[in-house]
Amino acid sequence: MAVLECRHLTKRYGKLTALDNIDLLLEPGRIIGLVGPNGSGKTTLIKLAQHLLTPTDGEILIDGIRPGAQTKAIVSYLPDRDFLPAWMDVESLLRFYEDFYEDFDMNKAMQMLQALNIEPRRPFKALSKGTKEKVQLIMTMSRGAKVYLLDEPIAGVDPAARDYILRTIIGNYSENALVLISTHLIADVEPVLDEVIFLKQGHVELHENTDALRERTGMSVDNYFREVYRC
Amino acid sequence: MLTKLIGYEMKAFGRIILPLYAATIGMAIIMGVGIRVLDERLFSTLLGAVIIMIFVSLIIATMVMTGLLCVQRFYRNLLGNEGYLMFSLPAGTHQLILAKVLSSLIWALLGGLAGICTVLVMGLAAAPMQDTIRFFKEISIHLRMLSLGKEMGAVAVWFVILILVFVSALMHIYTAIAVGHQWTAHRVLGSVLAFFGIGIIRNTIGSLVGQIGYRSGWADFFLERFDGNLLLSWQFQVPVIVSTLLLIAVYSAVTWYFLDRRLNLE
Repeated sequence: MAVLECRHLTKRYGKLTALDNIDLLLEPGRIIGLVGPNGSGKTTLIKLAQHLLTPTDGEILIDGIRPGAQTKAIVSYLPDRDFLPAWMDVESLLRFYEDFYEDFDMNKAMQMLQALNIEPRRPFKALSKGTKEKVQLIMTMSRGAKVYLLDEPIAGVDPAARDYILRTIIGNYSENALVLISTHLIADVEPVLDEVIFLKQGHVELHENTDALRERTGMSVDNYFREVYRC
Repeated sequence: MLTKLIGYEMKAFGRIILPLYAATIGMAIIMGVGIRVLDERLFSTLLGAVIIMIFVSLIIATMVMTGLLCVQRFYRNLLGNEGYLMFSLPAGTHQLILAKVLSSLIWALLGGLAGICTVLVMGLAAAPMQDTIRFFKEISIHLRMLSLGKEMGAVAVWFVILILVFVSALMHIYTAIAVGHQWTAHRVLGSVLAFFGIGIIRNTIGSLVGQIGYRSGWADFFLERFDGNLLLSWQFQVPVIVSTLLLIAVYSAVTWYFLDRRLNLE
């Protein structure tokens, strides 16, 4: 059974159509790349799944139900921006997640902080941009969720940290969970992807298994992406 | 979930407001000691003027900051970047709104309590011990007399009305912000315009209902029974309570609708 489903999903911002009649079925136990150029609708799709936006038409279902308080208990979401209260220190932020999410694993989060040499007592606002992103990712991946929605998780960190982050994603998601990663840094995430979705101007251009795609085209996903979206 | 949300709001408010309370009470003690030592002469010295100025500024800052935080915690924490966190919690939209209203109300009441404490602390610091004891004895006698009379009941009802009016005013602002957020750009301007628009609609409906009441005669039911005592009159209190509760219900429904069914975080 699909854990994330879109049925004729459409989102318009005034006259601009961000997503146009999208149909998708995403199974659990997969890491799926949501790729496309800026403005193709990646963030819009993820925000609709988290009920931060309201669809103009159609619907999106998480584990068979419309997004709401119930689905948020099983979805771990990493937005594409700083979203944590800057006045709290890192440890207080972890405690906040522990308070509100039953599936949050405090020990796992503390271990990851230690591995990255992040001081738990430091105020969030005192951290560098890259470290903030690492803390946000640690918090997101320390949950035992059914669905992980990661919006540009590696965009702001240095290449060395990207490897750690990708290893964190692979090493920490629950076995039967869906991980949806939105990114335009395809070469970095390609090794971990089971499937890829290409979005273009609000349409699903392609949804395919990454091995099958490489075999069919004789190209890496990254090279094929450059071919499809050549300006 | 609601308790956790309120607890979090209390911390967010407290880290700004509590130091202001502490500073105000600290200044009250300094003023009290100054009065005790120098008597009225304190007010004619430069030091006295500075102390009074700082004290008054702190009181104003605390009041303004409480009001600002009541609005800002709703706007920034729900509809700014932190909204991505708050609307991702496994909490209903009604719980998010209710947590903001209740925490604001608690801080408004704590503000009143802090004001009373400030006056008491200043009095304690200023007056000799026997005067203070006499003062508290007189207060307790007055309170006992008041609690025996029906005035106490009326005061309690007015206190409830005060709380309802505060919640209604707060929900008016929250509704305006929720409506203004529907604009794709210039959302602050949208919220300000929505605030005045909602006020005009409310006043128009209020005067229409009033006119209907007078013409149909049901307002006479209250007027005929009104004995002229505004403080003790249920004929005045009941319509105020009912209409304020109605307003709160409408504001809550509209705010919930826009934050739950029409949410579009930037």
